[in-house]
Amino acid sequence: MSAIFTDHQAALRDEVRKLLTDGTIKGFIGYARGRDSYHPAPAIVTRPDQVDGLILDQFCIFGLTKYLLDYIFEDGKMGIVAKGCDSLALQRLITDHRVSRDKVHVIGLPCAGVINAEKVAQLGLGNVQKVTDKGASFLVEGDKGSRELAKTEYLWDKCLWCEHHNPAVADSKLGPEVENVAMKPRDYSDIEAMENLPPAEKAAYWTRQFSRCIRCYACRNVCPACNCRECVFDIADPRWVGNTVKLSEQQMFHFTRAWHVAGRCVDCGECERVCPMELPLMKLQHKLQKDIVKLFGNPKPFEPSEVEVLGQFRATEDPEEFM
Amino acid sequence: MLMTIAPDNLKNLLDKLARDRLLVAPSMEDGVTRLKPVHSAAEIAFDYSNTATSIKDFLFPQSEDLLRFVTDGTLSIEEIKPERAQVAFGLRPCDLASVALMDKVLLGGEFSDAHYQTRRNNTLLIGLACENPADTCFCTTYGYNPGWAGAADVMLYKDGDKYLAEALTDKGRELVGGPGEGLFKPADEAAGEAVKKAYAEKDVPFGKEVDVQGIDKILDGFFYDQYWDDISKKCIGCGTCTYVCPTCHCFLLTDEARGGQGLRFRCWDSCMFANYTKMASGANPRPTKKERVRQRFMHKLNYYPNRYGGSYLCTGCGRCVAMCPVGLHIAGVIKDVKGVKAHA
Amino acid sequence: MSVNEKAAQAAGAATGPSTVAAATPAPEGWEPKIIGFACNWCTYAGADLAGTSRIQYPPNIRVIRVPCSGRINPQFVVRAFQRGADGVLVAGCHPGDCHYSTGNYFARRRYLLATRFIEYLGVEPERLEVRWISGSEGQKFADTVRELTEKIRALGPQRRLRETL
Repeated sequence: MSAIFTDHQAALRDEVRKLLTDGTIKGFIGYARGRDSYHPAPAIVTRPDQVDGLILDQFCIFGLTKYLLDYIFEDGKMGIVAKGCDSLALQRLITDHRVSRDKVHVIGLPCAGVINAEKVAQLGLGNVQKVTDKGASFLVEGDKGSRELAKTEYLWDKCLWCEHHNPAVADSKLGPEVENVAMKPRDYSDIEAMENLPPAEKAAYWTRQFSRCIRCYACRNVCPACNCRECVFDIADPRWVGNTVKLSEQQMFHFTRAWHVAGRCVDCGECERVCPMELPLMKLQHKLQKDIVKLFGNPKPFEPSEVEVLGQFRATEDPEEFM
Repeated sequence: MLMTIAPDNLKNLLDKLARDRLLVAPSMEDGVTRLKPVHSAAEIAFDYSNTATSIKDFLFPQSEDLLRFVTDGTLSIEEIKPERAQVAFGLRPCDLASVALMDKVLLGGEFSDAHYQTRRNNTLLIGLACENPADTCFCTTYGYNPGWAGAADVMLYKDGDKYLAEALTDKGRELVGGPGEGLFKPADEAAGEAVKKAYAEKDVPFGKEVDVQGIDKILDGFFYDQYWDDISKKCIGCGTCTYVCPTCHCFLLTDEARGGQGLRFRCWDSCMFANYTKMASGANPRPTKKERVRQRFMHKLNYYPNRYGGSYLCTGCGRCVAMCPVGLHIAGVIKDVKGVKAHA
Repeated sequence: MSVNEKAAQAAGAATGPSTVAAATPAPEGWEPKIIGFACNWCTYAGADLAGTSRIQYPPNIRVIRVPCSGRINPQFVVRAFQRGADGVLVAGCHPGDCHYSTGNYFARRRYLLATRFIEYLGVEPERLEVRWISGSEGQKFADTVRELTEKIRALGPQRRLRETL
């Protein structure tokens, strides 16, 4: 039976209060209560009196690291809380030389999985009062009922195959490290099923998805790999992707967005999670990921490295198909 | 005059309408229920709290072609008019209320927006009162309610195994007397009024939590408040709130030309985007998230009521509450500004 | 109807997977339009050799000269499809022969991935061809263009990524 995030809430507040008061950090990026008990929202606090608004609970999924880009031109350090997946995102920003490691104070949060709020909110448990880790399940107690929820069914998919439970980058850690094993192997069967469809059916599927896009750019804005100083979609000349929501522009947008993070995606799944129109954006990244594993023998392309997959080559070992 | 219509007759009517005009209705696709063009009543979802996107998509579309031009030595311009007749079914009271707010901006005053006007004239709005308001709904905050008919031409209220119907405009009466002839039956007035009253008084729990009374006046002196600094930090600058909002109406105009042919179109803009109001010189009067976040909420809760008298530019549809990735939404801002802490 | 929906319907896919664009027959007199991205040092010289050697190849290809196959961003390919290309040829020096030593090795990695990805989005794989063609391979250039043209002629017009202005 392992600890849950809420157990560390008090320790987190104490540490943040101390760091803010002694001037180690000038602000802290964490979580606060959102619209209900299932949807904690990001919160950026700069004053000790705001610290008691910070929370930690088993629904804290939002990847916070992208906010660090808002502070790169300012003096002083920002504090941030990071789970294992978030620390990959942080490594992405650091290896891309967008965030300097010495300007971030990372409070690491060992994590055995985050509950998928979208699934649990449907169960009618009301306002969540308490979550207890029962090993293979979580007991979620709300003011309208309680349910024991199997982890294999109610965690976010990415948590099930996660092999990065403990933050790789951290200045301090909340609680002991957790066992670093995936609950199930990474599964590309949905990608394979799609690959096997005839072109016309693939086209129909993606047309249906991309037609729904409202071009809000939430996917780009949460993505830690989308960290260009100036985004191609914001540049008027040359205009690679037009402003209209015609299907061809939507496709160009989604192709470009997915391609620009090919081999750089850290598999945090935030693009798909924040999409208001529920586009299956990770189906694009997983396709690229799967091919990278197969073609270039890189078993973990989602782990940031100094030289990225498409920024290198192996003259003799890379497959040759174009002769 | 109140009438009733059986669900099968309603579907027949919608099928009949779909034959000669574009039928827009809530439809579920890949887990998302949104307003979209459908070919027949069979594609319509009847079981939904609210649609992910609003009627705005069809009266003031996200991108809209305005004119074509040819520049092969001469210049010729051909205006594009949105002439196709459409009928929108299943609009919730919040969307029906939003149409009235949009009308004030785009049709009120000295000039009216020709494209919006044409679409408005060509569109028949069929409302459907809310049986189960979602936990993000707060229409009652603004004085609307789950039975509010707003701009509807025909309003429907689910009443047991049938629908209570009321034609509210000439367009609505033409529908009942024309394509709907024989499908509607007269209803008992007293019983019908009771059904309408029950909808109007239906409980909207979140609406009770959010009290907007007097916020326009509070905001008069709030422009420079530290608050905007604090909450804007968590905005990620995406356009979700503005694009799902039924009342946001900022747009930009663009020409695209290739090979001597071109198209002028307008498309939605979002005050959340970093390049919103950015000028050709590079200067931007809203350079940071703070100014942009403030712009959105001040526009809805202060500038609009000051300019158009009374009503706020929000109908409590709850879309931004449900969809903002970071939980930065108008209901929370109202609570915060009125001193009930909602955002950290 | 929103432009979005109109485009979706024009593509024929709004009605579901059974009726898709590929079913529409090619218009009378249609000829495949192929965009060829050719590197300056090998493939472009190869195309030139095909010309000076009087080797015939279909006029369906429009060659765009680029410094190196490493310059050919897959966005160029998607853009070509968007603006009306029915097929795209990406060609450069053989591995080991790159004028800039390594440009084509990067291109190879990129296109191993991109061809699969573009196929995954529903474009017939035959429409995007990647080939190493040296400056002495005029015949190979002509053969490649001929084969590609015939494959695309059989497939018909590319509508999947095409814009509807």
